Amino acid sequence: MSERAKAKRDRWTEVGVMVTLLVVAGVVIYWSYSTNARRQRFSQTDVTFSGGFPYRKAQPVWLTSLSQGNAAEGQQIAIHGLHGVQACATCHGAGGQSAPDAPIPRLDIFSVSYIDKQLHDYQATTRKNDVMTPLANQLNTQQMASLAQYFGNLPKPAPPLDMNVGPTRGRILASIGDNALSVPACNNCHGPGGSGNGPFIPAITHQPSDYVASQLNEWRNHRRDNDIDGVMSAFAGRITKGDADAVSLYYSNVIGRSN
Amino acid sequence: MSRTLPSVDMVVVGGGWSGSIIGKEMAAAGNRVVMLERGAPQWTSPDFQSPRIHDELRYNTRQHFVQNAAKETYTFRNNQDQTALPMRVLRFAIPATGLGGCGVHWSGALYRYDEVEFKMRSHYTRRYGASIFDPEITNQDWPLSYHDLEPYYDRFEKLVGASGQAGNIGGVLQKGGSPFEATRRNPYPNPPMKVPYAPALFGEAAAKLGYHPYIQPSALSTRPYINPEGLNMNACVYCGFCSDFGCEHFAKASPQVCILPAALKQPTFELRTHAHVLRVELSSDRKTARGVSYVDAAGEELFQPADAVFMCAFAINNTRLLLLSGIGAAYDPATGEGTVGRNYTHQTTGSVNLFFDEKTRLNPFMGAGAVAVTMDDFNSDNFDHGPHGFVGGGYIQIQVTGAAPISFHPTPKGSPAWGSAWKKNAATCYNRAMPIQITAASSAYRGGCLSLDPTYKDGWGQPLLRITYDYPENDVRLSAFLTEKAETIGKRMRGVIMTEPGAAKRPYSTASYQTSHLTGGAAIGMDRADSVVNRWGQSRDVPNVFVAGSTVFPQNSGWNPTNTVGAMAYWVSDAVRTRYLRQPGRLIPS
Repeated sequence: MSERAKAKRDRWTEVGVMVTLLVVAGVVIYWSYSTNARRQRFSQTDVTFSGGFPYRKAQPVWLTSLSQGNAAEGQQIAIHGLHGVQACATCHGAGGQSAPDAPIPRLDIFSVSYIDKQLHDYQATTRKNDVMTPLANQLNTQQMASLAQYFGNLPKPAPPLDMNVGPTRGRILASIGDNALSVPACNNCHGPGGSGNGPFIPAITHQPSDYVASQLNEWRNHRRDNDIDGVMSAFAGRITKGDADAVSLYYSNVIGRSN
Repeated sequence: MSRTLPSVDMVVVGGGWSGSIIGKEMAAAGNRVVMLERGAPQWTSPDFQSPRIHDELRYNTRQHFVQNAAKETYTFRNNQDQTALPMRVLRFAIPATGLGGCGVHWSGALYRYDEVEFKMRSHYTRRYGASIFDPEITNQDWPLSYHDLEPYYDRFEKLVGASGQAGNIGGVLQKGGSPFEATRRNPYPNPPMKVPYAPALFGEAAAKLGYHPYIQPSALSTRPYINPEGLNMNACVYCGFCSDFGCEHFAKASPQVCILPAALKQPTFELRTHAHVLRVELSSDRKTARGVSYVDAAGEELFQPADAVFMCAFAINNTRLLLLSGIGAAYDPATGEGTVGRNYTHQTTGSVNLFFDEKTRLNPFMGAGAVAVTMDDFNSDNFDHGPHGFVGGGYIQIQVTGAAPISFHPTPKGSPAWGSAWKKNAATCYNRAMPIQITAASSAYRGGCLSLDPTYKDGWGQPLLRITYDYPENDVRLSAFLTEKAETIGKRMRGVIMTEPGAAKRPYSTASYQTSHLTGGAAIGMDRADSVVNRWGQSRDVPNVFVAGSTVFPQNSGWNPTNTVGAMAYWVSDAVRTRYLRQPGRLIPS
């Protein structure tokens, strides 16, 4: 037998031994697990997490669709609109800067992800608005991503400085909350001075006070239910209308609208 | 000389879970109650709000909520032959000071014990024979059963807005819950928590191996919730400032969120903070408590007379108060005589550090105190102990508390501990490392005990509590067994490239954190020989003194104690209201 054939045979012997060992090991492991399982009190039940872990929930479109958009297309839609879609600038102002005295948000201070998600939420009716819902229904995924890329990438205003202006009640709710109502400070999640926190918790400072107040109202009435676990609805439901006005006024006055 | 205050019906020592529940229940029944809390008053708003609470250095590294060791600490030794020395920094456990007690900085893990834990001695003896217990082990049965306590577990779980998936409701197994769970009458009031990536991977591997992983029940509310006291809790937002911190969000249950506001509404309830109790004062025949002496914030010593005293201080601090007050006979490990200080236990732990490949991103900062996937396949007597020769079990889990940047920087064993190599490893591993944790039973043994230290004193001139403890061999074997099982699961997890098992080893050391689940010292039991309190938590020697908390646990189980502590607080409250107050001052018949 040639050296090569011998090596080949040896290799096959090795493989054979390995396979045998694996089979034996497999049987032993299977036997020990099944024996163990029989010993356990509840081995007959099918109550396991098999298939349950890891949790694979259907991912929302907006989690992955942002890259489809581009800011140039977004700017185009924002300024000129589309067939059947009014230009965003009509209400939200040039460069997303809405008028300070209307209940319309400034879009330039929101993040890319936040804007994209809101448009999808209007479509899904987890956020309802008589103007925005029909508009959002006219947009496709790419157009929504483009609008988000445009507004979300506009320069952000400077971080707010608390000048201790506006109603005291608003400042208290914003910075320390209300113990008796189990309402934590808005700033806990919305960031120092309400300047936003991460991609999905929006800035509430710099916004027109009527907009922030209107949203608290929407949360309370469940016309808006697009956060996680009903957190915002619960808070909005526990504070009074006066509280909502006070905290909105506080945030709109944190640094005035200097920008 | 101390000044005597106007008498009240009841004094509650300590403003944690036990004190808050008992105080509220007693006041609601019309008794004049004074609660004495040694620490500061503190409330979710304004005290636990941002930006102040977002401070890892203050709350985690420097343990802001924890008993100040410069004023009051413990001395420690591993056995009777050593001389105990005081701990200058508390590391082994984190007893709280301040209103809400440990209910402020806890993680919120909320397990019930099962039937077996209440029949520790008799169950194992019946199934395996008496020889399953090492001779030194002094575990004993509780004088009440799981079924006695079940309604009170139910009450506490509703109070704290518990979240979880029940495993067994009225004998019917529930999908997604633990099939090993003892029967419950009701589901948890709120659905289980969300699952971060690392625990999900753990659950996947455990399920593949045929085990029964489930989401850890917790006292973190998962949706807006109004508890039976009419108090609001919010849905947890997984901010990561949870264990060691006060919850800013009214989501993690604490006495100040769940019950203290209801107590303070009672006209007969009074809370005094900065009130450090020195001792219970006894009558001359030492059979009746007259009240308690305490020092207020101004340093004045005051005597608060009361008809009944509830000891609701931190677990082992209750034992110290009993010893300082001369209630009951101090335990002597040499003779086995006496009961106060006997059956002190901690919690047996173990861990397996996992390191993942470069494709895995665990994002461990996304977490909350009690967020975990856990399994009870090797807890309690859910498996055959016969071949292993130890009693007790434990759970195996991955829990993600939030991976705070100062404290969480895992690097492989044997790799550089400082310098640029360490920095590189720490940065690489932050998102690719996570321990499997084991929380296991702790068996009581003859030498493990609490006593007054003969040398060292606290800031008020009273002897410190001396802890004498080492892992009994039973628990070393238990930890080794569980750690091996955990490593098998870890090796099966997707993405794992390295595992580092770390079973509990003797000698037990106080230099590193284990758990805060200190138990025992005033064991509950069947008769005078083995217990300080009867089945109602009532002192056998001074019947108008009641002891609450894990102080009365005769040994520790393989689960976190707080649910049982809360249930026992309701159990004691009911017993006092419906039994003791009929004939105050006497032992309640069993």
